[in-house]
Amino acid sequence: MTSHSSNGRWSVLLPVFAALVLAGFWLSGPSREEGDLKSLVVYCAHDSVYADAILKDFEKQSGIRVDVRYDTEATKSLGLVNLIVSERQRPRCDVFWNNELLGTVDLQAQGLLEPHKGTGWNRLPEKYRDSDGHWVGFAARLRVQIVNTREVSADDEVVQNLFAFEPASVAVAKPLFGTTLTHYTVLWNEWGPERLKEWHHHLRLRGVREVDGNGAVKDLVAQGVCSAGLTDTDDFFVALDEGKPVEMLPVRVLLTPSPRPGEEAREAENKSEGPLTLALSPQSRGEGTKPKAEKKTESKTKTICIPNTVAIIKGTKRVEAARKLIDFLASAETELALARSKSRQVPLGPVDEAQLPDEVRRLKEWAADGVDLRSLLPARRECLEWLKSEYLR
Amino acid sequence: MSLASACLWTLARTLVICLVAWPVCAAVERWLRGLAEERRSVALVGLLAPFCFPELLVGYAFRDLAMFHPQWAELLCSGLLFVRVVPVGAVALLMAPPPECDAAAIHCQRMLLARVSHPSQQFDLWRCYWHGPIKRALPALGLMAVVAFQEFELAALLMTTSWTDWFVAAERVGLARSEMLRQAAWPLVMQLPVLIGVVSWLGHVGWTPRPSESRAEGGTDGASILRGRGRIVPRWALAYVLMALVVGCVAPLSLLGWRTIEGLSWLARQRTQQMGLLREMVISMAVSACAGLTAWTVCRRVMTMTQLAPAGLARRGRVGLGWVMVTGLLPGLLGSLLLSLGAVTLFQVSWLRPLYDTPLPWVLALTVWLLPRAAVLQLWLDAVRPSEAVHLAEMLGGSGMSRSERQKPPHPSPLPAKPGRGDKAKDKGKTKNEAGTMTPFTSTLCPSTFNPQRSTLLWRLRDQPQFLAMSLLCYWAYCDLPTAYLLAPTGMAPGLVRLYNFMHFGRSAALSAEACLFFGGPIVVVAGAILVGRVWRR
Repeated sequence: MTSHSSNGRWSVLLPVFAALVLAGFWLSGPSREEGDLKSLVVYCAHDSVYADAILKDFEKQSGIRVDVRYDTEATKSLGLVNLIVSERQRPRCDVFWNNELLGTVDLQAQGLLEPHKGTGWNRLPEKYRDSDGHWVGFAARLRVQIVNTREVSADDEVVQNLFAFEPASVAVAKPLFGTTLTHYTVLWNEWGPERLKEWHHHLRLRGVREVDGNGAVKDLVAQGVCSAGLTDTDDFFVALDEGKPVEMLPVRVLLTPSPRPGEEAREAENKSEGPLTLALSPQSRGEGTKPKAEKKTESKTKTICIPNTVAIIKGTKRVEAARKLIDFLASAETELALARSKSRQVPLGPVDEAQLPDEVRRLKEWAADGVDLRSLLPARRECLEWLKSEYLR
Repeated sequence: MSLASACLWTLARTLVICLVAWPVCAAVERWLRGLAEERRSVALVGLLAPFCFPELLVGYAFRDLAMFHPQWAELLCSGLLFVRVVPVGAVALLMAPPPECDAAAIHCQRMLLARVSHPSQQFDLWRCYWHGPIKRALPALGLMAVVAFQEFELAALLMTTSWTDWFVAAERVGLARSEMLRQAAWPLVMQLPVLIGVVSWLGHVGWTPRPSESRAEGGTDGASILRGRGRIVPRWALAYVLMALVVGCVAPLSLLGWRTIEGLSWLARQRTQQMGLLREMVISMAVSACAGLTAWTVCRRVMTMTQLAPAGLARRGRVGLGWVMVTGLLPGLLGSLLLSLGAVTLFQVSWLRPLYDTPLPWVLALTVWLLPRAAVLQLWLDAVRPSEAVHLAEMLGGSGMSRSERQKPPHPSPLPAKPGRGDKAKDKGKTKNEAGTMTPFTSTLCPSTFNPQRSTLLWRLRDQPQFLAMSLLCYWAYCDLPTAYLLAPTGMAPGLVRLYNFMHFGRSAALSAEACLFFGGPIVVVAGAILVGRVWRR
């Protein structure tokens, strides 16, 4: 055999060999047999850094193999929600672990979730679960204002002034995806579309630093490129653990109560303040410089507490295994593990408080004021439509 | 930003980069032509290294710089793109056929114009320019434009405007498929004229003379005419190549390097992490080998088939066959992002849906995407291969060639059978293939014995370049992100997507180490295979 012909053979044999290797990996992957109880396909929007360890623990405890599909940081959660929708005729996902709530509620509204009221569902508060058991929320993050303490003081009023007068020194993530979308949805609902649009345009016109994701916001603030930004608690803790000079303040949103007689004039006055004073924490206006975090929360403001959610996808043949995973994820053990992980997520159900890190206890107080997100799906859809028109058309 | 604006921005960036890069390409090409064969190989490796260096790694290395100095992000992105398109332009020029109208003809036309200043003479001069340097330059410029316009990872990581980023965002927020397809018309329309030009060039490039032949023509090539009377100093070209190496390879490596060692020591203690990374690498290597080698084989077979078309087949038939081949290359030139989005849509069709969660869509999309690259690589190999030396080496002490192989020409040309310039066979109405049938007579005279020198010679002259070209093709597939994150089936998580995901969190020692291992792994495998082959031949 000459080397020329051997070359030709190699160029045929090698792909065949590679195809066999691929087939091997594919076959050794998640079982495609219907009703197989020993494996699960999980779509996970939560960061793999934290989710991996939890799912490995589940594998060890239950003996059920878990194959995970993660999403990319820049497009967290929304990509997987759309993937599940597009696969509705032939779902390959058994369990969806979302890192926020409204995407899961959207799936429920489209009839893509299977109800399950297990032990996990029972231990969690009403606000963080679906009444019919289509999904259950656990281990939450909060939207916070991250501040570089070398640039400005960690003061709510100072941060509000930055947003109002120096947006160029503030960083925010594009609101098309992830928890920033939830944040915008809350504002859409509470402020109304016009006020949110005005605020958003004001920020953009005045040169706010708009980046891919909350991780990039954290980087910009931690490095002192921006003085403050909007991000999540888990990203804040990454910067803190790296020894960066950062501090956080919870994002608080003024709720708009239905106007009662005599209050209409005051409300109108509030609204007429214009975009420059569209504060995220409205109490900061003229209320002194003490950080909001340390104050007793007023009844009219709410924090944005975004739980992880987990749900079974309708059409799965591995319902039993999926239920086991849901109960595992919504358990006190998982909540504690996530609270003690580097992301310091806030447990929503009852856990042994003594085992919680100090930072998480502080977050738990803030989370108690969290706005109820369950009814915000229509607002999210409208807000997303508007955002699409802003960014994609 | 709307897609139209994003497209226009990308187009403007592409035009600026191509125009600025063009003189550099011409200088580098001229410098390459002037080099001796052995030196040219080294120079080509140096020139192509920034183009072959994983863009994900480059983007990751420069991401912080772009993020902290956003006013420089666009310039940084354009600069890095510049470094990537110059090798493409230079190599395309090197491969380009000699101009129909050379410098001497243009000089004569000018002299004529000095005596007779008639408008028709002026027109003739412009025709000379068109058929000379401009026609020669256009395909190279087209290829450069395609590379710059289709950029994805760099633009995404450096957070600059790009139409590719718009599509990713649109896909993720669930823009309707019909709307997506409608919007895809924008980049498609913008690229189409260039794509058609490039594809038609691929159909004609088979007549490319080898660089040695072109060099014999001295300064009569089109590039030199484009340069006018200015003399480009070869030292500048050398300085450029060194600078590009530093910016495109050394700087990213050193930016990562200081944390890589720390990360490697951490990784050495994490057994689970090691096994996960190894699994991801093996999966990615298997997919890329499958796609890369399939693309190579398909391309080679089709090219050979076009060339070996039955003598009875009419010339029109042969040309038609050639055009079928080059049309097959068109989807690949659309870029991996559009191709992957198309594949996702295609495999959601009810009768193809059973295949959706298999590696097949992934491999298929990669193969289609690689086809034009495979064609260019094969044409280039055919053009630069020292055919006489290979032929002599083949005759040296062995004749185990099969009959079909004997019937092949020493250097199969991918063209639809149009004879080349200066080809004597043309005058006699023969094809190169027919001329190549002398091989069996000479080879059958030699005894069939294993000859290690012959084997080594053939390896060095013929097989090694082919092996490296195939490896490069597979490496491109290995480093392609859009196909990996859109098409990889469940349970076969590609490492590339995980790394890309983590890269948005910022730099860390562990990530730098994993990225270096992930991207360096295949290079070690290829180097190992070459070493093993060398030992085995001894």
